[in-house]
Amino acid sequence: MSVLKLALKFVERDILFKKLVAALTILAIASGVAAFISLRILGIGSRTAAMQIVEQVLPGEVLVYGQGIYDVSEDVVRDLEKLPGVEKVTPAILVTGYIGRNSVFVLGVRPEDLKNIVSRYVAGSPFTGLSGPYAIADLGLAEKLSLKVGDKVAVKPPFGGSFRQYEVVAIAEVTMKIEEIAAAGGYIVLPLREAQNLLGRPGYVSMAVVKVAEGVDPVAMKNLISLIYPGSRVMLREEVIGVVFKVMSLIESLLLTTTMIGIMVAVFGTVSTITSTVREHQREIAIMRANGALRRDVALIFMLEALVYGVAGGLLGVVFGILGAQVGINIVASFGFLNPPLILDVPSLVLGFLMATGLGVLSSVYPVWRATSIRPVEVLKSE
Amino acid sequence: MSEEALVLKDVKKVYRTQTEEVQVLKGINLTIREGELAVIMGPSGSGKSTLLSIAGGLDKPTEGRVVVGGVDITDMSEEELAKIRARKIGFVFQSFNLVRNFTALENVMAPLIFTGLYTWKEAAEIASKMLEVVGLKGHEHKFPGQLSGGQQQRVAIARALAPGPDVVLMDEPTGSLDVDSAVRVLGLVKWLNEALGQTIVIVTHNPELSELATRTFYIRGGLIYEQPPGQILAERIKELKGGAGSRELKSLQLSMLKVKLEALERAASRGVADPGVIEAELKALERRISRLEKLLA
Repeated sequence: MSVLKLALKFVERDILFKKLVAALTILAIASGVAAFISLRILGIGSRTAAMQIVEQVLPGEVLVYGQGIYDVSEDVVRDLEKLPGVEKVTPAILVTGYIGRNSVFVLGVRPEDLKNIVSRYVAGSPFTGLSGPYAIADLGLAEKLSLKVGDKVAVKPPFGGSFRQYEVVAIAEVTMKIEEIAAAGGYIVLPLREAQNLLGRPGYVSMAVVKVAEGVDPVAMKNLISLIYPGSRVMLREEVIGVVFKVMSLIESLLLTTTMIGIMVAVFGTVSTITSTVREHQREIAIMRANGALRRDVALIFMLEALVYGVAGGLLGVVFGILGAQVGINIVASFGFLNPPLILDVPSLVLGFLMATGLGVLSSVYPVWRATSIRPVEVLKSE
Repeated sequence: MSEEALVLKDVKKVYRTQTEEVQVLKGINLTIREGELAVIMGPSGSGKSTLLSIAGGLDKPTEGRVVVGGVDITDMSEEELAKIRARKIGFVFQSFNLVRNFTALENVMAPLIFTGLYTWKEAAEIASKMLEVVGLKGHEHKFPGQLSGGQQQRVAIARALAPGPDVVLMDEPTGSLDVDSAVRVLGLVKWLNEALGQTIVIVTHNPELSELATRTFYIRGGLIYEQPPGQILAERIKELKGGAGSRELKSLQLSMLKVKLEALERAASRGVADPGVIEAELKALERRISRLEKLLA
């Protein structure tokens, strides 16, 4: 214990005597750890938010697509409803279109399915029929285009030069906040038949969302649908989430790779700092060895110094990481795409801290080896 | 009859390079008895520092045996030698070589801590007393940079003496000091030798130092020769023997050696060191305690 206390005093003074170098080393470690923790927290928050959106938006466990953008026949939808184990089938159209020069998402749904995509009506009331020249504008879109209930909007499909005019009957908050995707500026929700007519594809929808009855295995349902309609693309809701997560993981991996470079720079910085400390104190190491210090006593001093850098960098990194994650969340939320919650994932925080501590100690291996290899007789001979 | 604090038996040292062999020491036989202040003189390159390194367990002889305080250290490993150095050998160098990150007190405490025998409190008490002995009371918490050269060398002397070593080896202890500081440091060295009975070996090329020695040696051509003591030395010894405070210092030294004895006995009972080495150390320590008790009686 006495040797540890002595080593701590050495390290404490060493850090105090070279404040700038010590501060820069700690900051280098902290920045690497902070980037790692920020990304982890942001990633976890984004995944949670994305999962919530997909679960809210998709009123079923199995999704059926055709080979094209909107080529699922309503006959198929009706047949699906008759399958054993199917509770409900929701047909929907989701394509990009235009209002003037503004890109928007055109969502075609049945009146009874509006409750699955609209969380709140700000003004007006929803359409009640399957057809009719009525539209519900998303709040974001309404603000952007200064739309009010009663206004008329001309909506163009993604292809061709035709357009149709609709009366805005309601302004609402649409749950599926993906305005930034495909540079779309917001949602315009139309009755299903109107959306089909706009696209020139009466009797066809983009997708059918199948809700299975309680106790029915969604995987079995997916396999059954694939068997009956071999030309269709059938996905589980979890697979949709999986695809979203896959994309997110790819982005996270790229960012984490960049973070790793930062961490490697921190490791090299720590190695350099401890190596220069050993070089600086070479004579003192020799004199301590002459005075009876064992190799482990010398190793303890420099490992302790690296550990102090690691612990300080780790703690600071955790704080910076949380702050960085909050900034990242604010930026992501400002895009209007996702509103990720700040989830202080304890394993990520602990991992970041342990990584800093471990890398700190690892960084000291080479300098400590050099320090313990010093032969007092050789250093002191140079007098 | 005094016991032997340091014995070198037919010590040879050969340095080999790719092209040649240089025999620096050609069979040194040297016995330093407890309580002696030996000065080894010689020109640059005569092998003085090599001899000191071998005597202190910092280097190994090519041939011959080295015995410190009754323990043969010739065939010990580096780590065993480090333990022996901590308990039995003190070093004082020309450039003071204090640890900049430690205060004066901590510099003196360090070798005590490295022995593994003392608690922090015990080490601090001994170090504090040693700093008082070398006249640095009130400077305990100063860093080396805040002390003059002479004061730093006195801290180095206190550090060498603190663990109650069998022998203190000094390499040109006044080489980096101005004349006044050198005189003060040498006076202190002699006084400590006389008052504490501390065995001291000094290697130097400065002939003035031989005036303080109880024995003087010359090293030349890899061999060592002894010179009989001169007149000036005898007079100096008389002056210093009658010095004030000598009895108090002996009592202080006795109390510190007793602390070391207890610590060694603790180490022996815990089995932290080789029993043979501990036994030899205990015997050497008991002899020194008994000698001091006789002087105080």
